[in-house]
Amino acid sequence: MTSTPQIPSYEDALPVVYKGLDELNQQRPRNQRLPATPECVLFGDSGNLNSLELSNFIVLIEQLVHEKFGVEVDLTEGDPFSPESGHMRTAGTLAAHISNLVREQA
Amino acid sequence: MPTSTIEMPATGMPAKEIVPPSVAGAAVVVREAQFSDYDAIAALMQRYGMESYARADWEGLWRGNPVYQRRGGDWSLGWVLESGDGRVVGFSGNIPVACCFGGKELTAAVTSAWVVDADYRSHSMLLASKYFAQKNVDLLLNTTAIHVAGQIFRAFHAKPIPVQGLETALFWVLDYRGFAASFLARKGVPLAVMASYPMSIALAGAAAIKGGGFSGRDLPGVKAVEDFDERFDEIWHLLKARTDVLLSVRDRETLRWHFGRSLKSNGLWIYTLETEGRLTSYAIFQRQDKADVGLTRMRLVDFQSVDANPLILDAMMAAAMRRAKTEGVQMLEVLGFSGAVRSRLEKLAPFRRQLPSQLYYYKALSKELKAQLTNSQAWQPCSYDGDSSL
Repeated sequence: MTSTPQIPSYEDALPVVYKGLDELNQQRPRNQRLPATPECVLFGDSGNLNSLELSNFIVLIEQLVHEKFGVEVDLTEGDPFSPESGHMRTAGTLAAHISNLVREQA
Repeated sequence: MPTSTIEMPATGMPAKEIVPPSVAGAAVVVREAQFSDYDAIAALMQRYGMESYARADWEGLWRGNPVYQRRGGDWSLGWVLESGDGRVVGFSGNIPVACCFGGKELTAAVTSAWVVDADYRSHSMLLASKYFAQKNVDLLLNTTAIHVAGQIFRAFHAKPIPVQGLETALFWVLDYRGFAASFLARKGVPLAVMASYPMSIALAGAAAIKGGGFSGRDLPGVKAVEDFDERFDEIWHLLKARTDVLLSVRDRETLRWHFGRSLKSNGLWIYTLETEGRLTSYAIFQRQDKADVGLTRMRLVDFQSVDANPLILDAMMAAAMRRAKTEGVQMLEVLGFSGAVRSRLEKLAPFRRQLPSQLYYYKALSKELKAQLTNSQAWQPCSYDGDSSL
């Protein structure tokens, strides 16, 4: 018997992103920690994650999505860093993308 | 059409994608690289201590490339990041390479010469995003990944090649004093030349204890040749008959393109063995010095044989070592290889060094190829693959 993945809403996905941010923040100096808000910039204008942090963050979030919702997602598909529509722009855009991805796979 | 995309049909230039300002405050543009970007890319590479090619050699990576030619130039050279004031602040090259697997010819996109200015490092992800978005290839390949590049590749679902030992280089020291001096210079030891004397004695002692020499392992018929002749087409025909291993194409045309720069500079040693008038084995050694620390080095970059006799590899190594000693080469090094060849080299190498990271990453685009390449037996990686010896 296989379990049906939970279909998350944006509100369900946001804590997953925050958990990832929390783990990321533990590796950063106190004054450079990222806020757990939907507006938190991950990549672009005022984002200050370097490429190594972004890479590790992507891997971490994919693991957390699998643990939480039971599906494997690829956050690098599409155009993740587009300034207009990229899902890696903010915590909020990432959460919305996760919600959509999991729904598509459910 | 998104407002961030600017089409530039009048000039024939590719579309540019405007991305948000970097931490340095200037807007950054990512676009396809052009041959006319050479000066800016070479300058950027030099700023970061990377070896930059002469213009003709750099253009030759594509213009002389059999796959690029077959595609009529319909291929991205790579991508550049441009700062708001038009400076090139990042580059990743994209070189097409033909491979054979399962009786089919595949195209791999090899990423090469990845460099991004320190102020724009977060934008490396844009270069990666463009590279991994390619759909007109079968395989994405990186054979020179430093640690950060490896992490970026992992994020984009690339995998390390599943072969043991790829993070370890095997080497033989041929000039203990010179090698010790360059090693100490690299470590920043003052008066490295003077300090090298005791270290060279210790190295020679260690090598004597471990063994690893190839003296006396000669084989009649092993010959040095200057170029790739039609016999290399014949052996390639035999090699590619093995359909269960992913092999970079090694026909004469491809070998001459791949090693063109080394052939011109006399930095390539080719040893061959014929059986009954046919080429059955060859080894290619390439000069890969590190001039900044005074290291002179040859690397075994390819070894192919349709004969499983281990003495053939031994004899070619022995021949290369003899020549290296007469030409003042301090070390002979081997990266990669698998199976019996790797085992043989591991058995005989007196020294090994841990590489900073796994160098080989790949991503197969089709599900079928993805599944097939999880099998370690499908790989025989060496420095001929990718851009390690271009």
